[in-house]
Amino acid sequence: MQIADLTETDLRRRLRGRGLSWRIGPLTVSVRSRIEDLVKGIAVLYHDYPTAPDDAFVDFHVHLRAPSLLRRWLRPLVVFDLDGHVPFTPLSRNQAFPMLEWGLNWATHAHLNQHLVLHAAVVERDGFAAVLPGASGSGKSTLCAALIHRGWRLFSDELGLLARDGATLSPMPRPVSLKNESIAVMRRFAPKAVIGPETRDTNKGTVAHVRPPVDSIVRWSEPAAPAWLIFPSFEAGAAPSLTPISKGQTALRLSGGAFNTNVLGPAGFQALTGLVDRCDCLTFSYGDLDDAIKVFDALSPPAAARPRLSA
Amino acid sequence: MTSNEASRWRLPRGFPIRLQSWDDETVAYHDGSGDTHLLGPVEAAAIRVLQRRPANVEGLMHEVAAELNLPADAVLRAHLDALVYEFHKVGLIEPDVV
Repeated sequence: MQIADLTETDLRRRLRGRGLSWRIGPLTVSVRSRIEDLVKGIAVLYHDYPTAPDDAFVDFHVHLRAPSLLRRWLRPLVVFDLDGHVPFTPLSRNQAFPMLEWGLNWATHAHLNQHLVLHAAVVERDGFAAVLPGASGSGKSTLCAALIHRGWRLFSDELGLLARDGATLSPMPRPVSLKNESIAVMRRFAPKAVIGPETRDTNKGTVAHVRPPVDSIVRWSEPAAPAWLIFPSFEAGAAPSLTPISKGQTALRLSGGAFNTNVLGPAGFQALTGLVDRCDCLTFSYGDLDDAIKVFDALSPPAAARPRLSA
Repeated sequence: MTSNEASRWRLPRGFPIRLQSWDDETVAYHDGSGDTHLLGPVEAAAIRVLQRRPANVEGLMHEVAAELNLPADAVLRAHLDALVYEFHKVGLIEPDVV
């Protein structure tokens, strides 16, 4: 059964009761909430995700709830509660869905220490993955959203899950987060993309999420070999330009953008250098998504990215 | 502490420095701090020397010069003097106190 098979009433009843559980790649999450905005966000953006059976092991129990009685009268707020732990300050109630997404990002990189978790979008084509590290505002999520509507498979727009030997990336496809101008850009670029409700006045401005393609959700168990490490930057009016950067510089930049290097210690360093070893390392500036797609479609994987035969 | 005050330098006790090189660049990972550093050829050679055994700046100069086929002269010596100060500051090396 998928979330799409549930009526809005079913969805609301589960969220208000024991919790709505569904599978996101290798994880099962269970969400409880009485917040109405969340019903629509989940219905639209997790539409094609499989629900989990009642007896499934749940990795993250999430409760999006109002704060204390006193505070809820001052201003409608929402709290992200993970297994009884409240890691963030409350947000306005209208930000419940973005808060679920940000909270799941946090839960993932705080708990998935079997991987080195990179702050990067990851997309795949023909078994090879492009890793797009980038700070907020670099254009990585917009580029990622564009690529997945032109034949690339979504692994993540935010969290690259790298095996400890640096040889494989694992998918965990979730809605792609867009903000401000990039929302309208994506509506024009991919008119058939399903974009959820816009949430205004967040600390990132206006945010909205793109529903992942069904193919990406279904193929969550198929990893890929890393082939390209590409640092994107959007520059209005810029012609697309790929520029090689050294592997040393790449490793240094990546180490600053990985979430759990300090938890993994030497194993994280090994994963990171293994990744850099296998990839072509590039910066990419672009000013137009169609031009950017052409550049990505012309990429060919380096020999080092091809799977190695064991002796 | 400056290099003049310590007779010999060593890598931090109990915390290996891991190196990975590509062409002329090396990244060094400090197990203790969790920090990653980007090193040039002289810097990486100095760490490799200290991975083998503690050394003073004079000894470092001769071993680095031999490894990189450089003259063991005042220029290299001044560079290594500054380098051990920087390495000590970021915790990549410590005085070899018996």
